[in-house]
Amino acid sequence: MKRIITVFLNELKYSFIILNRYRINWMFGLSNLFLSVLFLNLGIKSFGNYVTENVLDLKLTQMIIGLFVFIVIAEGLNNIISKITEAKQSGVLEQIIVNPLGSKYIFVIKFFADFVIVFISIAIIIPLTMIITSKIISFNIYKLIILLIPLLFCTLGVGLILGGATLVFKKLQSATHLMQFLILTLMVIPSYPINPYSFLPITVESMAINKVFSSQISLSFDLVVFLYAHSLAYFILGLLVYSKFEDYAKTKGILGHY
Amino acid sequence: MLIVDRVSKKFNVNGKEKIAVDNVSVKIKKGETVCIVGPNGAGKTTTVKICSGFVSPDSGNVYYDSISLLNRKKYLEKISVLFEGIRSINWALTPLENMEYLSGLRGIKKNKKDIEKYIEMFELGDYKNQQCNSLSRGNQQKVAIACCLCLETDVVFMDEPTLGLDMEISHKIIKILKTYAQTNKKIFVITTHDSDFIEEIADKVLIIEKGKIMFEGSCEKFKTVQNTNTFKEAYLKYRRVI
Repeated sequence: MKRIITVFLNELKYSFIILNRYRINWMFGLSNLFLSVLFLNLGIKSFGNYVTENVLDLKLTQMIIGLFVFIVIAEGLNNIISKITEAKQSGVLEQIIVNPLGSKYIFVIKFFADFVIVFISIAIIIPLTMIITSKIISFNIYKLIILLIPLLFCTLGVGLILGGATLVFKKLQSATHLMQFLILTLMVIPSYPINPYSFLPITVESMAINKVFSSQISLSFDLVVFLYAHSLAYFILGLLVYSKFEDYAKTKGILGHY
Repeated sequence: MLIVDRVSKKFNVNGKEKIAVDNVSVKIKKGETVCIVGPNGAGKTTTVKICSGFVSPDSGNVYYDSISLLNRKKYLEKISVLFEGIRSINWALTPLENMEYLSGLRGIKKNKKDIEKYIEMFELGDYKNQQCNSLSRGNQQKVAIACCLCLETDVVFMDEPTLGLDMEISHKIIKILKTYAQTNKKIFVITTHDSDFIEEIADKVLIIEKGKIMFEGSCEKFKTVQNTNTFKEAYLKYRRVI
């Protein structure tokens, strides 16, 4: 455990060093996201002429929550693939593969260390969005944590599957922009009440956050159990699939090919 | 002791099966420096990659002090590896940060004093706070070797550590590694084409061809067998180039 904490703190420290070194890129990324929110807000408000105030209020709430969920998922998924790509480019993938802790666990630790940075981005963007839309959402922090954990683990599971595939299929990283469409699709699929779509990754986790925080459903015990079982299943599946891809790449000797 | 036990590896290249490593067995004692020599594509790098857990063997196994390569976590704790072509450092970080980062990646917390020792050893003091992507090729390689050594593992694998370096830097690296190997009693397994390097540092030479070990013994023994004065001449005579 002590070793895992050392690796986590090490990753966190270097995430901040890189963030500071390339802070202009990060700030431009944030401002792009901020501009998108401005456009979305204008779009929704222009529809406001044709709908009742309650509907407009709900749409704004859902937009803010949707944005939060989208950042978490998109950054999370991109994170693992981009970490592998970045490790290849920066020169440390080989060192990660021969790490005694195992590369999959190193990427899991990297994911959580990077999530701290993602959370800082969210902490800047969401309040700004609330100010622009004049729609203040009061978050119940306990509910948020309960719902965020399964979302993170499910995202991590899918990220590990895609990350493992990147080790074998080198061109996959160039298709990451398509993933944003996939994420948006998974976010809007009607997955509550529980139906066959709910078993797809991310669907039910993102839908639960959206519906609970826009007060459309309450957080029931059954829902929490389903969310944790669902996300744990995807997390374990992610670890297994990643290991299979890594073993395949090691057997074929293609890990060092770029 | 490092034991490589009947290790074999085949690859499928354009639909044809190619033997990269063919039933290689070798025993390396603590404190020994072994240089692996052979023509391009002979299986030197694949042997190192198998021994360092980067490529899985088709058959055979590797042991260090009875710890099997299959017991991956324990085995990898005992080894460090320098891959060819500066694949062992983060180019966005400085030499100091690299050493700290790569140690931390293994869960080892190095203090500044420990790291400064390696900075001094490799004469990187003037560049220690400069990002590695702006360093010369020679200094990047010094950083990569320093990062590998600062993990202070029992076994160190190095794939072509002096490849593409000018004579001066190459000589400096040879001197540093020789002093380090003599004082620290570690096992060094190094693939190289650099005959000066082999003459200076190797306790044992392995000549590999088509994945098989063709010669195993000291540099002196090889020169005596080939009846030459230098390793370079002996090797070229062996390869029937001269």
